[in-house]
Amino acid sequence: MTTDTVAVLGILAGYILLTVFIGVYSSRFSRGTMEDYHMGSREFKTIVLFCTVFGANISAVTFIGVPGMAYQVGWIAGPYFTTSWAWLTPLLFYTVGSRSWPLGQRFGYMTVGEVVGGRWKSPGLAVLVTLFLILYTVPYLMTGLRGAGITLEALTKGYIPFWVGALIVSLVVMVYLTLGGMRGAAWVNTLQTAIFIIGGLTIFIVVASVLGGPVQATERVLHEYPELISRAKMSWKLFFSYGFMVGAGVILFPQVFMRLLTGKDPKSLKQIMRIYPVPSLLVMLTMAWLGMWGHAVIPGLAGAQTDFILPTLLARYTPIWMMGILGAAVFSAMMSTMDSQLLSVTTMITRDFLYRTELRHSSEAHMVRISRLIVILLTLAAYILALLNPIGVIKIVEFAFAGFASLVPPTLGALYWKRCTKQAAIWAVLLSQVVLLALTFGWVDERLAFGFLPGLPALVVGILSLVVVTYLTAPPRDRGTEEYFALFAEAGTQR
Amino acid sequence: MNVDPTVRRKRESIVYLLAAILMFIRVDLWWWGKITPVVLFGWIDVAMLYQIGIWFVGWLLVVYTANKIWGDHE
Repeated sequence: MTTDTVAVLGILAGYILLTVFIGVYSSRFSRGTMEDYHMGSREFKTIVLFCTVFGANISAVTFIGVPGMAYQVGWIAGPYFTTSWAWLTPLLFYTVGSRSWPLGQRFGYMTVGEVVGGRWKSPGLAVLVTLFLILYTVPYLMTGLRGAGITLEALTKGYIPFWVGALIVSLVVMVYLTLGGMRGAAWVNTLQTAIFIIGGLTIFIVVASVLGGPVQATERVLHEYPELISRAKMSWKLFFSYGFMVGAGVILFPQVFMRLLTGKDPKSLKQIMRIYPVPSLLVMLTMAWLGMWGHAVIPGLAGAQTDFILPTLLARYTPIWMMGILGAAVFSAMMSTMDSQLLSVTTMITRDFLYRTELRHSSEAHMVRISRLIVILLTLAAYILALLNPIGVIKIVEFAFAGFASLVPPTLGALYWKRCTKQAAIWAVLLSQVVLLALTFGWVDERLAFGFLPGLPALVVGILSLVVVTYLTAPPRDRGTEEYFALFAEAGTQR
Repeated sequence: MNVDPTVRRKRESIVYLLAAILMFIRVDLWWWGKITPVVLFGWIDVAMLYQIGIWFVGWLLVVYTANKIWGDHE
């Protein structure tokens, strides 16, 4: 093992020990209830809330996928995310959050399925929504583990193989999540978010400096690879449709939605909404520029190799400690997303499935033990899937984003449209998902997507079916609708 | 700050309309595939600056929503 590798592993070991310590320490504050294990007793204020929501959102894509994508298509990989997601998602914190948060307070809801199904008192609709959310969360979960394995292998020059890196991350997350639940995850996320924001900016400044500064690095790209500056390698239709997918989809990431409900009050939610776009812009744009500049100094990477551009740049051009910073930043981003996804899937399984069986009569302590067991089993399943997965990181995430985005119309129907019916919500879910899956897997001619990502036609079909079926069915007269809109009126959000 | 429901509805409509417009005009077809002049710091070109401008307007919408639409009592 070289000195470089020892240094990198030393920094990462320090980071991992600190993470586990915070997770274990947080368990001392556990109240032993489901509300506490899954929602941290809904008492997070601005800083912790921001870090846990942002950490749940930022993943392997930022430090692996974005530089890799920019290596192939240029700087536009940054605005691919920042000119939609960075501001549209926090705007939706208001649209969805301002109505879901009081519902969580009043009815104890924790999941998207509960909020949508609860509108019409429909367990079937809740289960349907949850099934799709789990379907799209699990592939996204794999990206964190794959990113961890890829990064550690590159940082240690192959000394630690992919499967060991992924295993280390799995075990660490499993420990602090099993012990600390939502509180443990949120406290650890606070550290992780600080690390990956500061680490990302440090990496940008150091790499830009060793490449001769942004002016020289950009001029080199302009002379040798002008198509990366002109955006000739990125289809505008792809750019356009992905904006809707990523901007709309994130609000229904189960892990992001759940964390919005953990806010102590709307004031905290409003604060994180104001802050959110700034680090989003900084992190994404800087990673995209690094990936593009990397093409000029390390040409010849293709396909999945481009995912290695950032670690390769650091290994070739920066001091040893930079590799450690990258490792800590990447691991922070990945683990904060992974823990939140694991907990959200656990919450959905517990609340939307197990609580609808005889288990609902069990004690709180028993249900918390079951939740911990589910966390362990899910971690194991995610690890195995990560080892088997042969597909590139971005492709999986694109598919997951579209899946989440397709669930936005029925969610908005449930929260905002009194006339909207249960049947319409069910058809909107089913038809949009059928269109998405049919176009993604090639069950129908891909030309039916007119060159856009499959998620865009799926979203349009979802909206149309919601409207058409609503007017084909009788207006809802159920208790859920009355309760929801009475609460919104009481909370001051009645339209 | 409490917001009158009628005023809120009006403000929401404006914000959502502007958001929809931003989602369309973020695709600057007129510059797409072209090299544009560098205008800032010696490396930020017009197309890059335009994209940053889209983000900035989006952020303003977010701040406006938090300050002027989402009332304190909720």
